[in-house]
Amino acid sequence: MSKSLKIAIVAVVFIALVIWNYTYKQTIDTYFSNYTSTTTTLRDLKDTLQALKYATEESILFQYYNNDRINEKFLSLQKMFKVLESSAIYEKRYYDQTRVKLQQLEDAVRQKRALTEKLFELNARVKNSLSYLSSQIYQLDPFDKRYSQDVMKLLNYFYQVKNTLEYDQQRARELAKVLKGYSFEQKEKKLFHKLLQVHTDTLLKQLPEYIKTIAQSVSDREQKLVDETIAAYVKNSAHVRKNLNIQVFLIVLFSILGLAVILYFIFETEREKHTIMRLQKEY
Amino acid sequence: MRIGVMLLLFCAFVYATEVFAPIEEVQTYDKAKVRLRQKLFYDPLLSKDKTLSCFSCHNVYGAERKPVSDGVDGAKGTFNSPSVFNAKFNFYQFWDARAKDLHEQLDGPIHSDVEMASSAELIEKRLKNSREYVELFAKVYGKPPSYALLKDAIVAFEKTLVTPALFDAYLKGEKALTPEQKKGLEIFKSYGCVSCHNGKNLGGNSLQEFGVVIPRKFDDNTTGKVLKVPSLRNVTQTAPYFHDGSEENLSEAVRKMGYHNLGTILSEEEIAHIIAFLKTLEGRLPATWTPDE
Repeated sequence: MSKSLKIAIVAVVFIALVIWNYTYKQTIDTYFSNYTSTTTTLRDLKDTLQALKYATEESILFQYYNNDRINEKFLSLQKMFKVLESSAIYEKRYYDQTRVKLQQLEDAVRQKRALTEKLFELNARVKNSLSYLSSQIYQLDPFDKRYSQDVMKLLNYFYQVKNTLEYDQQRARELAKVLKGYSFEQKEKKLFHKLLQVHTDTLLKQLPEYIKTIAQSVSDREQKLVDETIAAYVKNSAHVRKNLNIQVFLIVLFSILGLAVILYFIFETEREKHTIMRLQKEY
Repeated sequence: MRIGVMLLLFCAFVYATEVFAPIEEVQTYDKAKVRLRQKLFYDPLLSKDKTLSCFSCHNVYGAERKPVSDGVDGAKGTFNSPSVFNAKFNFYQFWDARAKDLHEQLDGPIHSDVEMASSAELIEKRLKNSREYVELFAKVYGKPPSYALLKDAIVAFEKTLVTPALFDAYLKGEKALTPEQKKGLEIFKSYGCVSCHNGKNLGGNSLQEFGVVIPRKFDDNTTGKVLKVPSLRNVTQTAPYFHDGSEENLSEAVRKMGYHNLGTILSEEEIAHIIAFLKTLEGRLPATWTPDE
C-alpha cells in the first residue's frame, strides 16, 4: 500500500471519529438539557396545580377572595403547556405516550378552568346569600319567637351544609316548607320575609351544585395525570437513552478499529522499513 | 408550636382576605413606538369604509357615552362598549368573555359586521400603501407593516392605558380615604359587592349572571346568561351602565345591582356612600391617551 493512501485512510478515520464524537456530544447535551427543562416544567406544573388547589380551597374558606390569584395560576399553567408544546415531546416520535398523557392533562386543566369559573359564580351567590341571612338575624322581631327560631334553624342548616359539604334534600325541603308557611300583613315585615325567602330559595337551589363543583374543583386528578406524564416521559426517554448508548458503543468500537488500523499501518511500515534495510545490507 | 400555628393561620388569613390589589402607572415609553401605536388606535383606516377607528367607540375614559356603538353602514353593536383603560388586567375580554386576552379581543371589532366590518388582508394592504406607516413600522419593528404587527402595536398601546387612582394609593398605605369613602368601602365589602368585584380591576376576573338573587329580564337574549363582571375602575366616568347600556344614572345602577344581585334594598345613604367609594377608583387619564401630533 502506498504511503499517501495510508495517510489518507488514517486522516479519514480520524476526521470521521472527531465528527462523530462532536455530533454525539451535541446530541447528548441537547438530550440532557431537554430532559432537565422538561422534567422541571412538569414538576412546576404539578406545584402550580397544588397551589391552585390551595387557592381554590382558600376561596371557599374565606368570605371574600381575590379571584385574580386563581386566574393567574391558570395563566401560569397555560404558559407551561406552551413551553412543553415547543419541546422534544412534540417533535420526536419516541414520545408518543408522553404526548397522549400531556394532551389528557391539558384537557383536564381546561375542564378545571371551566369548573373554577362555575365555582366563582356559585361561591359569590352562596356566600352573599349566607351573609345576607346572617346580617338579618339582628332585624328579627324578638316577639315573633317561632319565626325567629325557624329562620335560625334554616341558617344553621345552611352553615352546616357549607361546612360539611353534605346536602340533605329532605331536611332542606322540610325547612323551606316551614318558612314558606309564614305570611305577614305589615308591609315592612312582608318585604323582610320576601327577601329572606328569595335568599333561602337561592341557597336551596345553589347548594347542591356548589358542593358538587367544590368536590370536582379540588380533586387531585390533574396532579395524578402529571405524575403519569412524568412516568411516561421517563419511560420514553429511556428509549432515547438506549439509542445514545448504542451510539457510544459504536463510537468506542470504531475508535478501537481505527486504532487497530493505525497500529497495523505502523507495524506494516516498520516491517517494510526493516525489509528495505535488510535488502540494502544484502545488496 | 401552638403559637406558631396560630401565627401561620393569622398570616394566611391576613393574606387571603386582601381582596383588592393596587395597580401601578406605566412609567417607560418608547416615543417612536407610542407614536405608531397611537396613530393606529386613532386611524379610521382599520374599518371597511374608513369611517371608524378604535377611538370611535372608546373615547370617554376608554368607553363610550352611548348604550351601544355605531358600526359601519349604520349598523349597531350588540353590547355597550367597555373601557379599554386597565383592560390588560381583565382575565376575560368582551362582555360575553369570548376572548381571553387583548390579542384575541382585537380581532373581534375589526372583523365584526356590526363594527368595523374589515379584514386582515384589507388593513395590511392599506398599511403597505401608506408611506408613513411603512416608515413607522420599519422604525419600530424593522419590518414592513402586517396585520400581526398592527395587533401587536395596538395591544402594546392598550397596555399603557392604566389609571391608578386614590384607592390604589390607599391600598399602598400612601393616602387616606375620607370617612364617607371608607364607609362606602365597608358597605361594598359587607354587602358582598366584593365577591364579584375584586382583584386589581375590581372585576374582569369572573363571570356572573345579572339577577342572581332576583332575576332580571333584558330585551336582548342575555336574560339568565352569565356575562363578564365589569371592572369598576373609572365607573363614575363611563355611563351608561350594564352590558346593554340601559342605565344612565350611577345611583340607579348601584340600586339595581344591590336589588337583583345581592337581594337587598339599599338606602339612599348607603348608595351615596358606595358612590363616594367608587369615586376613589377614578384615575388620571394615561399619559399616552392624548394623541401626540
